[in-house]
Amino acid sequence: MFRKALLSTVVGVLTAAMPLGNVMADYPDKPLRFYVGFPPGGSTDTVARIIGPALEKRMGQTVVLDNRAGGGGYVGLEAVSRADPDGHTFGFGVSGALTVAPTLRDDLSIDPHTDLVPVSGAVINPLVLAVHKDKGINTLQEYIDAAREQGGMTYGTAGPGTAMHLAGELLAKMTETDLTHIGYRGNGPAMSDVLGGHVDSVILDVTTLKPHVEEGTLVALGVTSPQRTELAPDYPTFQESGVDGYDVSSWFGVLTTAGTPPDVVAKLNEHIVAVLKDPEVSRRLLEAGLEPAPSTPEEFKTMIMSQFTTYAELIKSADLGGN
Amino acid sequence: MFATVPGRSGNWRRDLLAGVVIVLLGLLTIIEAQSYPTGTLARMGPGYFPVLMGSALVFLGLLIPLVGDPSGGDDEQADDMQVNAVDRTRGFLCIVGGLFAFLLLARFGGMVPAAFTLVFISALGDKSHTVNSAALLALVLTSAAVIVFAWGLQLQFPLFQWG
Amino acid sequence: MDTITNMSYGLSVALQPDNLVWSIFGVLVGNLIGVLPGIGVLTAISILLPLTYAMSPVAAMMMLAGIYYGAQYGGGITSILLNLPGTPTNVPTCLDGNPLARQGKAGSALFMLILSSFSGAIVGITILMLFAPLLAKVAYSFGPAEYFAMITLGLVAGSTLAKGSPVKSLAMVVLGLILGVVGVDVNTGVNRFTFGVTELGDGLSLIAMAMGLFGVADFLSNINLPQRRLPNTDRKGLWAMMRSTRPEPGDVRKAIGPISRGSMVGSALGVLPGTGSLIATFMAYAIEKKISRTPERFGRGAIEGVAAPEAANNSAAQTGFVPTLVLGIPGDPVMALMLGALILHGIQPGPALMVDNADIFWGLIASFFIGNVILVLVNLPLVGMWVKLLSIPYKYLFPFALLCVAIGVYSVNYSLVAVTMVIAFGVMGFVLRKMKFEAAPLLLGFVLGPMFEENFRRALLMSRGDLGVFFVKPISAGFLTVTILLLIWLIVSGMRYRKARFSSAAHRKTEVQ
Repeated sequence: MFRKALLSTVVGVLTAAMPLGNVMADYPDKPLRFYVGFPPGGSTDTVARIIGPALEKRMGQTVVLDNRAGGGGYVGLEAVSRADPDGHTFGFGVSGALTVAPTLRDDLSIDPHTDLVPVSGAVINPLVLAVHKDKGINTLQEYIDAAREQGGMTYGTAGPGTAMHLAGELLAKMTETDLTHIGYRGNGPAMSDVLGGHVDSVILDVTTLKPHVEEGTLVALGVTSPQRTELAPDYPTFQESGVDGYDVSSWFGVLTTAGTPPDVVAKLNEHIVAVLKDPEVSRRLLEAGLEPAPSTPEEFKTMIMSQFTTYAELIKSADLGGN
Repeated sequence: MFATVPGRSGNWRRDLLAGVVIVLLGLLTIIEAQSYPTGTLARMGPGYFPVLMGSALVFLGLLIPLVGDPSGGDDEQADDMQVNAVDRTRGFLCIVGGLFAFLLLARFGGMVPAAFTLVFISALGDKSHTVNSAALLALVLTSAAVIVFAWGLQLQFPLFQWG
Repeated sequence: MDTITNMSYGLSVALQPDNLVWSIFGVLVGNLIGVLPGIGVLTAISILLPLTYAMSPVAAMMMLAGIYYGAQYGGGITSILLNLPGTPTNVPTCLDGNPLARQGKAGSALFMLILSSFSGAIVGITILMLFAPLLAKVAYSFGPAEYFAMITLGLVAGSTLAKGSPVKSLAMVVLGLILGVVGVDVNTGVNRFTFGVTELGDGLSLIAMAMGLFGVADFLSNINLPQRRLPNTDRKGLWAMMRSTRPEPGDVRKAIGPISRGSMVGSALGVLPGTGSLIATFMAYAIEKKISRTPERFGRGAIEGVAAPEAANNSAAQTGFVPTLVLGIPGDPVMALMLGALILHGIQPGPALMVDNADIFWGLIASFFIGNVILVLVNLPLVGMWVKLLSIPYKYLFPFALLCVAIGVYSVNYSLVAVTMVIAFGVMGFVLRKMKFEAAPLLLGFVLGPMFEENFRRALLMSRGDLGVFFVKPISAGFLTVTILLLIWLIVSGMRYRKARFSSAAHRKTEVQ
């Protein structure tokens, strides 16, 4: 009896997989693979570990999380680009990798805009400019004035080519001040140097900075995105502080293999959006310092391409990248 | 490379060779670093540090044969004499070959064939192994690897895979 | 007083059955991971991370931390038995631990490993308990100039480790620094020395390098060597080995000094994220060699050469939690993972953690105590078994070790590039050995290289190119002064070597006669 049932299941699965033309009908019909291009413990990994199980529940298939760290997220994206285009493999792309890296780097093994298909935005990771309280600077305007008086300021970020680096360069350009970028290997060492007063300021994500602002050691001067963040509603935006038209944001989104049928992409988008809107998931994301930001595949693609163009101009005019 | 003549002249020849190798590595570093901007002391480019280090390496390389190295003729050197070049080369090739086989089979075969081949080939590097004893060892160690790594530690390394 | 109340509260947290079980589990897994060559702590923690969703945050932290410091114990074991450092901080342990094993004294070396690891850890925990907030301030008083100066001292001290010529060691340090350049330049984002390989953007793999330079190079040199069959292959030898499990008379007394100095150096430098523990370990070894009346024994089986670095790395593993717990700033990728686990549970790491989540802070410290006691209880009886492992003929042992190395390195990222690196470094290590270069300073240079360059450049960026910055700041000036003194000593002893070259040649001649 049991054996018969097993056999029919096996046959059922096989036949279901057979007609390739009709992928849609049973999507997803096998375990899904979710690539994260960063090591466990980082914020991309945290998001994946929050939404992964929720997706699993909703889609009725196992979601295998696979950390393929390296190359600024490109090792993971490359794995996505090489998968079968059936929507069963997808991964995280971070804003830096999708909008900055194609201009800045010449070693990319794939073209993120043609070898991958955007599925949906996932979360926004708001960025904040902060200084040590001993500097006696309390607003963005005071910061700019101080930079002009002292002949420049240094600012630390989690590394070159990140949205944070870009945020600093854009600020320098728009306010015509001399801001020197100091790149660190991730948030930790940058935090350590700003707490010790070795670097004048830092641009890092709100989650990292907030505990130290609350404790009073650091002063948050503003967020780089055009709207205030739910995570710290009392931080003003750069725009409010008088830098008109300033907009840099850091986000992650989900992408899948190029050539995946549009209806499959739409289906995957539907699941991801639903999961991000789930109250439990969004509560946990906010706790982890990330704002859910679902979108349609088209909206996501437009965002990537428009930011890519803007940043490409900025990078060229500011002569970033050291060469 | 596989056998060194001990004694004082051997030491000196060894140190001269060592110095030459280090100088060459330093020069290669400096040459490769030329493709990156050097910048200034206040704003160093990506090429600054490698050039600095490459030069330091050249300097140290020149110093090696001049200062000399009294160590030598001790345990390892003595060992060299007791192994003939054929056994040395066989061991060397089998270990390196086994690892290369692992490299290929890990991607185009999976953990089981990769592990088996690695153990089998590298074991044959030891002259006291026969084909049978190496195969047996490979069988035992592959099974152990499956138990420890695949089941115990749950590594995401498929036991078998094609293509 | 306050500390006692806190600690008893911590103990009550750590002794809750649930927490206790996970803590012990973590410690044992860590110990095993450390023993398996090639499998890194990071791989182990990544694999076990999903387990932590179902646990309370306290239990999760205890388990992950247990893996971390448990691996320090285990890594020393393979250093002694197989000359394979489980973690980079176990490299100095190889230098004397492995020669001891080859002389048939594996048992006493392992005993010393356990004794010094335990003592070091206890010193580290005590300091962590008493001075955590104060130490956090020390941690961030280190800016780029201070880091640069400290690393410089570490690198120069590291080149005194080797048996032979210090010039050769310095050359290895510099070569290591150059290999550390491979990858993305952290200041400009330019890929350097990557030759178009994407995977190299993150630099050469440390595990692959350690396994290649130590493990594979060792197999390449030792295969088919008749006398590498250790004195224990015959029955009688094995029996003698078993008895040698007990320390040799006088070993413990000889080790008290090295252990206390090692623990102090380890506890102090362990606080500095990223570099501290490694520098501390090499420094502890260098200090012992420097103050020893018989420095020539080092590298040939000096028991102090096992005791000091192991005390240092285990105390550093404990005080290394200071920045992570007090400031929420992870010192290394493993700590970052632990903080990630906290975030997943909705706990925001930061300066308020110590107060808001006292159960995590004090419970964790208490669990360190328990974990270390368990490590001793588990490892002491195993010494006999480890020693027996050595009686397995080399022809079975080396393919086994190779297999562990290959699978372990491959599983870090499932990247074949890493396995290729193991082969390349194995061959390189073999060639370097033939020319009497040592791998330890190379590895030290490689690990510290990126930090060395970054902090050098960062300091000069901030000072606008003024080299004086390194001498104006007191901490930095202090480190650099010691470095200069050490360099002078190196040059002087270098001249001595030059003389020794001739006298030793003459000496050898008389020996032959």
